[in-house]
Amino acid sequence: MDVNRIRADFEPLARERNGKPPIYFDNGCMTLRPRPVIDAMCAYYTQFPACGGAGRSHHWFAQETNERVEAARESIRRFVNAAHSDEILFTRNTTEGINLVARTFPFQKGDVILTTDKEHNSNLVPWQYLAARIGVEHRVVPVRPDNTFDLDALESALKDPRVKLAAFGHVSNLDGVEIPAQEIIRMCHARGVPVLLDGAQSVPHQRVDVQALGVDYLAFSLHKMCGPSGVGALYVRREHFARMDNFLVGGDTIRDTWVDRPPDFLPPPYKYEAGLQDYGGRIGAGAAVEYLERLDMRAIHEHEVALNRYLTQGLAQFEELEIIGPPEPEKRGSIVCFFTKKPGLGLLADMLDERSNIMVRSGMFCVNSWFNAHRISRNVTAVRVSLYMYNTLDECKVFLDTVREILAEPMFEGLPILPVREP
Amino acid sequence: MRGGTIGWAEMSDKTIIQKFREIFTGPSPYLGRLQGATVCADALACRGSKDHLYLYARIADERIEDVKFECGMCDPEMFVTADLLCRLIHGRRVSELAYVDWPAFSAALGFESDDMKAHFEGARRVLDALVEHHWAGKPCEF
Repeated sequence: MDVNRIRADFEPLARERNGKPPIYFDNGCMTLRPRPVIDAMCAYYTQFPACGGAGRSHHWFAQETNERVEAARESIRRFVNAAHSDEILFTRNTTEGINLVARTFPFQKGDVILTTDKEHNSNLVPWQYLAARIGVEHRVVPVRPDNTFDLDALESALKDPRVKLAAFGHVSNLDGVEIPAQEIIRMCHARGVPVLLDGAQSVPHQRVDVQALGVDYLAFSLHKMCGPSGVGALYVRREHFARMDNFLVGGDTIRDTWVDRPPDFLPPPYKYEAGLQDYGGRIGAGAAVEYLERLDMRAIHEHEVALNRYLTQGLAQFEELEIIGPPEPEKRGSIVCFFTKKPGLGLLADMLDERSNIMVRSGMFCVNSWFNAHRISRNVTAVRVSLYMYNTLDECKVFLDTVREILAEPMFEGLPILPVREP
Repeated sequence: MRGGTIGWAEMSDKTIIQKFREIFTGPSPYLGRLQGATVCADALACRGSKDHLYLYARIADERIEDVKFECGMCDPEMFVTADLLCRLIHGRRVSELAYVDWPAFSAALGFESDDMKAHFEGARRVLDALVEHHWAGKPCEF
């Protein structure tokens, strides 16, 4: 993989501030976009900026819009190896995809939904909301002490016949740990339980084949994989559509309506894509997965792990920092998340940005429940480095050098190491 | 301490740094999570920053028997502010908390600055929320 050639496609990387280039390590939140994605979106707005959709305009520009949008859907289908393009629903993001499943799945009062205790809020709150609204039960499968998935705990949870859906983050946005999805799906299916994977942190970084996995639902966001913000996708295995309720309804979801009888809905995917859509964004999403298809997803993953290995070794020298998750970088993929245990390092992210244009994220990364459940002290701050294909070893060196420089400040002399967990 | 160059070497306010260090080297009795808290509150204490202040108190007979704080992604000023605020309210009756205002706070601090006033006002909002939660009987759920 030619990283320098790839970097040339991402114009923000050519910028400078204070004579230094940006070091973008916040890819877990949102990646940068390559020129072909920008061009594809610009083409829509400059060449054929018209309505799409099944029931709308049919003129020259509209036809071109529809063709490009459906081509994007087909590209996404191919990227995750879905069997049919109508199994790909466009959403705004992973959160909307999970909410779509939560609102359309035929739950009944007393049904049980399983998640782990390390889910992004997007795969936690919809189930808690559903529990409060219709009386389903949200039950947690706790992860092991090193944050890896506990298959024994799942086996135990699945003994309850009331379990109707298992919804797990495929790769954690907190620590990068991947769950054994194939085995989990096999175990769940053996009990007749369908599986939803939150693929927000997996699909952008590795080959995810929905047919090989046998997964029932897969939600992901294009803005984490070189695509525009505000565009996501939800894979639904075709057989599930028959049991799914409507989500948002209105324009573009119907074949026909009458004032005195119920509407005649379009088939999937259109019945789940209500209203005028972000056509430019969808076309950009198609360009994003086509861009990734031209690269080798395995090489991207290996590149990220190599950088992770370098960072992990470098961070190990600082007693003030503690990596979250298993020590092996191979188990954490593109994520290097760590606690800062010295007073004042809550501002480490700001300092990295100010000194070396290093953009990382700090806080709880929308996994507040994990921090609360583990009684993580508010006085220690977690910092997350999230890598992608355009990041380099040189950037990692600058990161470690800057961390070392900050920690060597006289201010820190004599200050204690804070406990990570409250008693 | 935010805005401009962020870095310890550039900090001009030695007093704040000294007080900040004392909170941890002491350590301050107000630093940490309060076991047995009867009420708590949290908020982003300063607009435009990430200072997230958590206050925990044990109130009995309308008196603050004990109080502690945690501060996520906070600058030294917020740590100093929160620590001093806890010191000022510890042992007071709830009805007296209204008197913990900027003049009282700055007098205890020993100096005045716009930056510290902004931090105090942010922390004061969290204290107001804590009192509201107390009146409402809202349990501490952290």
